[in-house]
Amino acid sequence: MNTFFLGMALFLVLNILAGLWRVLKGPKQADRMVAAQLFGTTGVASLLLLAQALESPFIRNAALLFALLTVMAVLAFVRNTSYGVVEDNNDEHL
Amino acid sequence: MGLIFDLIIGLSLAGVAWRIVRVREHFQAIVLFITFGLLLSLAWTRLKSPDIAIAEAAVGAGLAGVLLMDALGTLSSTRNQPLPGRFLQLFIPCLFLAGLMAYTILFIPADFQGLGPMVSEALPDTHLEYPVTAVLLDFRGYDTWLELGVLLVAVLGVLCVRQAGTIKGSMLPAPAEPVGRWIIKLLLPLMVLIGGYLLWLGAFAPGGAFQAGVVLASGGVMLWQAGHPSLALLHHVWWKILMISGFVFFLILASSSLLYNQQFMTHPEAKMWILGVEYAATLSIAICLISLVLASPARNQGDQRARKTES
Amino acid sequence: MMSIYEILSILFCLIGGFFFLAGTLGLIRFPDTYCRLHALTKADNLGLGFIVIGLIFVSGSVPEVIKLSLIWFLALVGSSSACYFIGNHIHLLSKVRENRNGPDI
Repeated sequence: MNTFFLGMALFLVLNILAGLWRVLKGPKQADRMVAAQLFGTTGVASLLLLAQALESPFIRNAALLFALLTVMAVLAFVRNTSYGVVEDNNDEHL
Repeated sequence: MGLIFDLIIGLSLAGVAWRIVRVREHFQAIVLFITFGLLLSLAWTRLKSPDIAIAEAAVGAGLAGVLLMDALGTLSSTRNQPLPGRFLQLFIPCLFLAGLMAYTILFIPADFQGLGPMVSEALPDTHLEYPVTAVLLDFRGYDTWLELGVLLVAVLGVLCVRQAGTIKGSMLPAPAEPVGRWIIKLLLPLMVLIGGYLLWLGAFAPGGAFQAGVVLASGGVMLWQAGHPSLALLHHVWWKILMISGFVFFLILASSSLLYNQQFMTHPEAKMWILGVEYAATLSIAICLISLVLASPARNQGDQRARKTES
Repeated sequence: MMSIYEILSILFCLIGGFFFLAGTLGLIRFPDTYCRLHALTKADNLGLGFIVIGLIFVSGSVPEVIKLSLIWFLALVGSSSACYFIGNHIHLLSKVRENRNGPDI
């Protein structure tokens, strides 16, 4: 049973690694941010599965923090660019 | 299955780290760094260190991303390629250091148990139930104390570079969109609640001052991102007092022990002392981290641009 | 011999894994940012939901169930609003670009 949960967690980690391709490829900044969003959700799921597989319930707190805090980076990304701070230097990516 | 998992995590950590160093576009490096934090958190989970996994989750998912995004505003979007000769110059010392570290492993005796038995033997003296908290705040109290000092020095350094006397300045304007207001209303109470929960947990389970401080700081940063005026209401004297509270509280308790105990940093009421220090440290870690984000250069530039568009 | 709860748990986790796979495929294969955003925030949260349900079947106590549900709820709030922020950001940027290159300005 625990091996199954570990295997599922491994499968999700492989999903993250596949998603890295989009981070490398881009082409826009927003695409990379979307990929980071995927990693947040997938990371929460794999931490929960690991907590079950390793029978260590406190790992769930790490998943809780990921679920709570992943939106912060996106907020910072949007706030920063809405002033035109970043968009000015990045016309080639649009 | 476990071995395959560990191998894949290890290899991808190395791969992502390599890419972060080599990539020329800053934004990509930031997103990769957030991913790196996630993979690192998974790695600490596999190493059975939930404390560090929780801390890495809090820092990697929340504050590191915010700080880097803010710093991006003042940088050009790409960086220069390192000189080809530099690579070999750095590679050989790194290889040498790695070899040296591998060599030291040979000197660890085969029946070495680690420091676990020693800690569990001394644990009853502290009246704490969780060994990691006992190590951080009692056995290795010096280290934690100086870490609080390092955080304080970092904030002072940022203020020096900014040539500012106080952290407080104008806040970002409030978000026009309703979703921003809504999410802050919803998440901020939960952040305070979960921060308090982690602090309470630290006495007997993985959690503690640093993790709780980071979560509370995230709540403060979120208020700042929303342009909510409540952070500015705190008078700057109080701001400074809270910022140094952890370091000073540690110092007072450590030196007051000299009055009745002849020895630095020992205390008869160990549990009360430790928990008091932990609570003060949480507050000052939170305030220091908020100050770091608030004093970041991007805000300054954003303000100037906002003022420009207004005038 | 496995209990019915364990079999249900495995089933739900596998369904969750399928949705995650779908989300990742969407991220890699879909043509533009809006499509990728759409694929991710829907498929992934559904996948997380199924995995949470799968874990609830094998969890030991009521507080554990509440905590797992809270994590899913937070992930839903976080990623749906992040989806809005990113979408809005792309929209605003494209408007800025239109204004800049527009013929009548």
